[in-house]
Amino acid sequence: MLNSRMLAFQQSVRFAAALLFWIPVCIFSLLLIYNTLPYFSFSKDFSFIQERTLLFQNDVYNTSFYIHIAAGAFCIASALIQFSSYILKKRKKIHVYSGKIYVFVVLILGAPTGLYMSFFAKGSFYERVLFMFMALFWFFTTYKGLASILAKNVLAHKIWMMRSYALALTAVSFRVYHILFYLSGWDHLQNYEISLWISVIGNMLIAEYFIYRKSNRYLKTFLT
Amino acid sequence: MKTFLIVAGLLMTGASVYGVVDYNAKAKNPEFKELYKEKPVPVEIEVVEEIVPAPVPIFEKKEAAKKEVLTDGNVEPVKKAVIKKKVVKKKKSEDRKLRLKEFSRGKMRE
Repeated sequence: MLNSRMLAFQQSVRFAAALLFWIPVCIFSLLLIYNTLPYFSFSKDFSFIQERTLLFQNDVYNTSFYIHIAAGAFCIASALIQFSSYILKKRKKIHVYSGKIYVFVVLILGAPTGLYMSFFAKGSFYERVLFMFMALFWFFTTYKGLASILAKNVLAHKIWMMRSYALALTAVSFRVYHILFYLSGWDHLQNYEISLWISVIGNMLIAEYFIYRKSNRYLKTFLT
Repeated sequence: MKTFLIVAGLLMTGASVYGVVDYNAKAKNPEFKELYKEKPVPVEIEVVEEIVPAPVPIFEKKEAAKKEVLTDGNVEPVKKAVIKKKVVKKKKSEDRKLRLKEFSRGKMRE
């Protein structure tokens, strides 16, 4: 009797922890998508575009930007479906099709445009290198996720897709830190750089923590 | 699948090569060097003049009374000393508010 109670308690704690993680992730992801939509009016009245007027005069940069934000918004929205255990169990086809689109969007649209734009990113040389690393690692982790599911290795697929999603989600966590540091009175450029580093390193560490908990042989997950 | 991966790889290579070429071309432009540099914003300050009456020494009254007696009241009245203090207040633009529209990579509007 005590054991079943303990089990129920453990399950409810796990459920509450999952809610605590996913509710803010969903809210902020949807907020990011909602704030991305006005960019498709192709108006230049956005602080992000006004800061980079010179870059937006270049057609390649201009096109890359719109492709990148569309791809990013799609990836963040689709990932919310991809990690749902309900869809994975009951509606597997949705997971498969949505996953195929996610892989296509990252490998063909999101990562290449992100890599090109990283050369002109805001911040010092180190921030540009960080953006390049993000684009390359996003590409690599998504490719590994695809390769592992084609090899029928489901656990490796889950692990690599968690890494891929962690990188996609840096767009969301960056904005959260950016607003928090802004409210605490930080200068814009300083705030931008710190938020960027914390969001990338923080997301990667969180993903690695979840992977570490999932797998018995953690270090081998990098080789699968 | 192979074709898809080759296309993806080529796009990544193309993006990095074109990025280097384009960056080198733009780096010569002086406008590009100044792209993200923040111009110093003039700080708006409000100057309020506060008039604080100086404390009147007690012995002044006695002296004034003595002078009145001596000059039969033809002396100009003693002016109270006034100290002007300038209080510098920073304008309210310093107050930062949470706006969900600013949930972006762009610079926050003050």
